[in-house]
Amino acid sequence: MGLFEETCKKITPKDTKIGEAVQAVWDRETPYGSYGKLVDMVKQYAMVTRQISPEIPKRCMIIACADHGVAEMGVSAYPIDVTVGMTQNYLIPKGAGANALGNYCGTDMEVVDVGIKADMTWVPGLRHNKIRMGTRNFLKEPAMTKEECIQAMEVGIALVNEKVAEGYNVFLVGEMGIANTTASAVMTAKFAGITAEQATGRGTNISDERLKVKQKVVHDALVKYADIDKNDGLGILHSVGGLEFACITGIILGAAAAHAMVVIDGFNTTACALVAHTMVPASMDYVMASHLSAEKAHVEALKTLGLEAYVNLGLCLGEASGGSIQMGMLDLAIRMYQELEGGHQA
Amino acid sequence: MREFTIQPLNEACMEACQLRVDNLTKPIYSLAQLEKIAVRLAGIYNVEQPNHIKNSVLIFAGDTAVDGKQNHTKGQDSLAAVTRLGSGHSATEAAARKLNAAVYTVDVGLEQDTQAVAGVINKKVASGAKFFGAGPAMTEAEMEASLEVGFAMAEELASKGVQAVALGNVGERTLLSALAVTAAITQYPMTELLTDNECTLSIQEKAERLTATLARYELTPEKPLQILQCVGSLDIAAMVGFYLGAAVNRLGVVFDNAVTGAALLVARAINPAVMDFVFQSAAYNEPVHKAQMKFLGISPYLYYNLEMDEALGSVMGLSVVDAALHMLNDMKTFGEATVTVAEDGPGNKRQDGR
Repeated sequence: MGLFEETCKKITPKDTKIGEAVQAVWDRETPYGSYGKLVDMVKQYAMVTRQISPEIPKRCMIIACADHGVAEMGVSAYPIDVTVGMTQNYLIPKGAGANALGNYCGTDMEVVDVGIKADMTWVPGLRHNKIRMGTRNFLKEPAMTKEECIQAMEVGIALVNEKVAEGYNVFLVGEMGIANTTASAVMTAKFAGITAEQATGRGTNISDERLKVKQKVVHDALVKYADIDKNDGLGILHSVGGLEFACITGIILGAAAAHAMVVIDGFNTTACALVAHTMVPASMDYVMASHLSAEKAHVEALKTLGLEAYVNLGLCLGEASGGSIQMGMLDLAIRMYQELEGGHQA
Repeated sequence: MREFTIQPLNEACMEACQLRVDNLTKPIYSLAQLEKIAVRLAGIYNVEQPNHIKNSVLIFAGDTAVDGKQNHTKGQDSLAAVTRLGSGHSATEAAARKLNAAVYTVDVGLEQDTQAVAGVINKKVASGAKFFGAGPAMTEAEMEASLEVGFAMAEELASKGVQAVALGNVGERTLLSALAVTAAITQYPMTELLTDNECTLSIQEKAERLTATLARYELTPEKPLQILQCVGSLDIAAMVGFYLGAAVNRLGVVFDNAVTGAALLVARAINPAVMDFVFQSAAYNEPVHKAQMKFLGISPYLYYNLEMDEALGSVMGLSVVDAALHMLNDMKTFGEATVTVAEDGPGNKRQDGR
């Protein structure tokens, strides 16, 4: 049995007994009204990480980077070399949105190349786990083979296992890959049962002309892969997904198996959660939603998972930007809880 | 009320800030509201790239309708709340500490005496506002004194170097004042502002009674001070003074619930320029709050189903402001980070490789 199957088998639901204990403290310390979803967030974190008296999370942002064959269809506002440019930006100038919002929420960061279509050996600090030089154009043939897809998931699982061993217990997932909202639009359309037009948004803020092209691409992909069942997560992921999406799916499964929490971000990482959900439904206990992306089908994707966003700032960047805001709020919620829990004893 | 002048936002600083924001390594406009917050801060503080601003939390406390038949608690709940806040062992304090924000709790109109309560600033104008069903909530002199408490707090915080304030409230039945003030300013039908509760009256009956009561005062949005005096409360009046004083002193103010929102509606009716200095934060299921958002044409950022006062939503909103400053100062431009700019869409026109 490989790492992927082994990990899926290990996943068990969250510990609801711990949740009851945390709820009791909130109840005792709520003089009027309600702390609302702050209660649920602290409970989820405690139940997932099996902490009866939850500590401030040790957090790690993971940005998975890869290229997409479908970029050759002209579906993004940016040329494909931006995947390279941004990946080095996370690590050398450290000037990306991920860096800034990572600083905001006080997280450490790991950046993984699972399939950038260029030599990246010159980038210091980058994790070199390239499975192949970008995916294939899924309009012509499946983006990845099943084997490549599982390999990319196992990169995510192994990374989580390594970080959990170092004491990390919350992961903020983000992605970089020019044209990747085209892939996630097809994935979301499949899982949520919506049309190409409903699933396709402006991504990196493309013009009306490129949006038409993108919609057509998504439409054609849905026709080409119409036979794949919506419960076949691996089938959808390898056919129309991306290597960075497979890696993030692995992170979710790995975290769930290791009792760590994953804060998802926007449209792309939610598509990864949709995959993980079909593979092991209980893995969703370990997933916390964050913001509502401006990418229009995001709300449908979250609804399919039974999740609701906490934050609405109109963001559409990816790179764990919305997840970072939610992480900041979770951090405050845990600080409030600790104060209330301890304040009683003082 | 004092004579005052609010200087407009600094357009040149905002334009320079916007140009930097547009050239940061991200798809154009992709950080949306964070970008708007950062640019407005540049306009408030008269600098192109604001950073490391000094935060604080300010809570005004006052009870409403202390002489009404519904007053069973006699201000004890409010006393417990300000005692908790004053002790430093509160949820608000825990979050504020993370933001390096000192918490100031000001008694402007609590029913109970707070002079012996540690950590509470005593600026009591009266021991609560009266029930507006029987007569005006406060005298003109009380309203003026409360406005002045707010103005003076803005000056005091500014003199301490504070630049951003999370505003909150404590008080019993203050939602009743917020409701009446909101109805008078927005002129929305009363039924839109009410929720069903355990009260024996239906929404329709409650709406009729409240509308009739308010009609007695002949309130119009053109006379916001009359609204404030007749159906407001001492803490709301202090917040009105604070919003105006904050704008005069170039403080950014994060507000949260229906009570802080009601004060904002009054301040805006007195001088619309206050809107340039305020930032929304949490969403509340309370219809009064929803109506305020609709009237102001803004959407909250944070959806946590909070039903808690004490500046809790505002402190969380202050954290969003912090995130916006991280974006502005920690991100690099395409040129600085050697990344290729947009070839399509609106980014193609604004991203020039700087």
